[in-house]
Amino acid sequence: MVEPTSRHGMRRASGRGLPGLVITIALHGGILAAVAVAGSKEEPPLIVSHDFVVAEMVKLGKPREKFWLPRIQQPARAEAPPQTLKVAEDPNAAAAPKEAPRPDDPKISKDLKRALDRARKLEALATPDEPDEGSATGSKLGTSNREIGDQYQAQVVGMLHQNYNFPAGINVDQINNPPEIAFHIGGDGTIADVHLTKPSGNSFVDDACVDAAKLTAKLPPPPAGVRGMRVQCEK
Amino acid sequence: MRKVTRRLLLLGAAALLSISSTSSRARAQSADDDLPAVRLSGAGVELMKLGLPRVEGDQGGSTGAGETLTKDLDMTGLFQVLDPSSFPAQLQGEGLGFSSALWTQVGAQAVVKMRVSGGQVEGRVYVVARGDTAQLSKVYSAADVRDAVHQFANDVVKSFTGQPGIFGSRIALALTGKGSHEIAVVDADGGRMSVVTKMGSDCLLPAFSPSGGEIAFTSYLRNNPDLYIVSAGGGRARRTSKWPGLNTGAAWAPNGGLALTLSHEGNAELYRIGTDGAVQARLTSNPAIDSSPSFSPDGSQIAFVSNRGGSPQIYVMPAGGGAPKRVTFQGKYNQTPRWSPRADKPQIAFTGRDERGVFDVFILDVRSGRVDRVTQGKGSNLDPTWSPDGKLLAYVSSRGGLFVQNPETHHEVQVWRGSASSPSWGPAPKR
Repeated sequence: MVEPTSRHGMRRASGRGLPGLVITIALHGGILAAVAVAGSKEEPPLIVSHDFVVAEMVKLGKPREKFWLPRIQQPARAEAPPQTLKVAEDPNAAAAPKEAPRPDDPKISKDLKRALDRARKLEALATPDEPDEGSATGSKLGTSNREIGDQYQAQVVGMLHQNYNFPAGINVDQINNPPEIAFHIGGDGTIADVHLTKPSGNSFVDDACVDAAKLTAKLPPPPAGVRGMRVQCEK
Repeated sequence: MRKVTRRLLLLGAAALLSISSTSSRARAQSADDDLPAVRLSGAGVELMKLGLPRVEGDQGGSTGAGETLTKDLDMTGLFQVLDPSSFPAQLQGEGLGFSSALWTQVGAQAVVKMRVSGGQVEGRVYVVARGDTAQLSKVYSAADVRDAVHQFANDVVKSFTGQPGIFGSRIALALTGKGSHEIAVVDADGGRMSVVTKMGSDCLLPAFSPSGGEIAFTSYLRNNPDLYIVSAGGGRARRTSKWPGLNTGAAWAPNGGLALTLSHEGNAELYRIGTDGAVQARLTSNPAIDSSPSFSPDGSQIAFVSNRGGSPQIYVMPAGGGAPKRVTFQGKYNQTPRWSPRADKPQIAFTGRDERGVFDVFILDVRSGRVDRVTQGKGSNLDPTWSPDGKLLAYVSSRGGLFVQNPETHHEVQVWRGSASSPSWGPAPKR
């Protein structure tokens, strides 16, 4: 049998073959779908998902007496970056600011003297902050007065907590479903692929959860086997 | 036929893609589920960055509308009001219109605009992330422009939190220091102070009635600490309780009458009286001193101070009297309990003296017994009183005057300068 060679003939031939092709694709699609559905109804996964753990790290400091009234928790202080260039050696550095006037200087005006006296009195009223209170074996990242949970997870929670902020005025009591995020942790501790896995229904609250991970950016290098983290953000 | 064929082809491809993407999503979900999970709680609170450009029609602050609005919104403790001098001229001349693109550049998350003309105030609220459409646009009229601004400020708060603000409410104070020691009333933002008594003797411990129409207070006018009631607008005070000895620390019950400390039977005890001064019931009976009653919002319980345990502590008992239960165990000197008006969040604010002898304001969560500190490291702060919505606390300070703080954000504003004690915040304004 001689195959048709004209363009017209070819078009007719392929026109006849197309329904067959469509049926083939549809059949294959059906098979793949059946396999996917069957796969999704497989036995429970071998790795059972972890329950959420509350991991808190105790703050470094002197323990507070149980029967004293509480103090406002101060946020963990960030360590100053190492000084790479001394200001005195910087030829472009701005001139040092003028020394503040002294109240006993006879040249200053009465108004300025009064203002300085008032500032001194207000300063005397302000009580200097005491050293942080916590436990002698605590961490600078700690926020709690009790240490529980896995050490690395507690470190992660401590670091995320520093960047976990809700906008004021949002009534968090009305949020029934706390948002959940997941991210990957590189070998050097870098946070990547931060994504929302369970939205709360309030974009401000979801953003606060995602931002906690994005702003933290880097964690301590994870222990073997840890390649990511799931985080549920409560109020 | 060819069209049908092409559609079938596309449908087939889409089905394949859909299956493939569903299975990849499922794989990703499953991968996420395998990750170790932690729970993050105790979120900090960030103030919303608010742009408040100059008020149109308030050149040079002539009407005081701009200043009132700024102070109101600052007082809420919800916003960080951006410095208007940092706004480029383009934004200053924008009028009531709005360009989210321009406001993004100055870091504003929301912008509140106002125009004053005659006795009217026109207000707009924009949220930068929601585009150029106003979230609130309304005109307010009032005899005093300050009242119109307060109404707008209440709506601004409502547009962000779902609940209106408390501006337009008033706070009663007992004036101290040099000069008169009368009872005065100020707007919640510290404006429009007026002295409401003319006793010419020491007046103390004012308490606004639940309707806001009257103020109960104690005065030494007749050389005995008697209880008086005066109209909140001022006028002649009525001597209501005049038992020999103490007639002090009155608190209005939400369901009528008052509770106060009387000592006519020898010891300072709590009693329930009517507004005519008739004693209805004796609530405590103990050799210790019982004082400073404060009713729970439903009127079923009373918090008060007693030294029956050796040092002044806060106790709670049924409003009709009964066995009191001690609720504070930290600190050796806790006093002036004030029950929050929020029924959904039972809290008692009080003054406590810490281990260094400094008086500060604290909040007790009645359900858990947890105590949180409100003030710290800023002189002595005492005599807290809740705003009518239970979101703010006002207190007096050794720094001089009346301060208001949002205990959630710890944002504090000095609303009034002067010497005063025992503030009592009146009810929410009528809407």
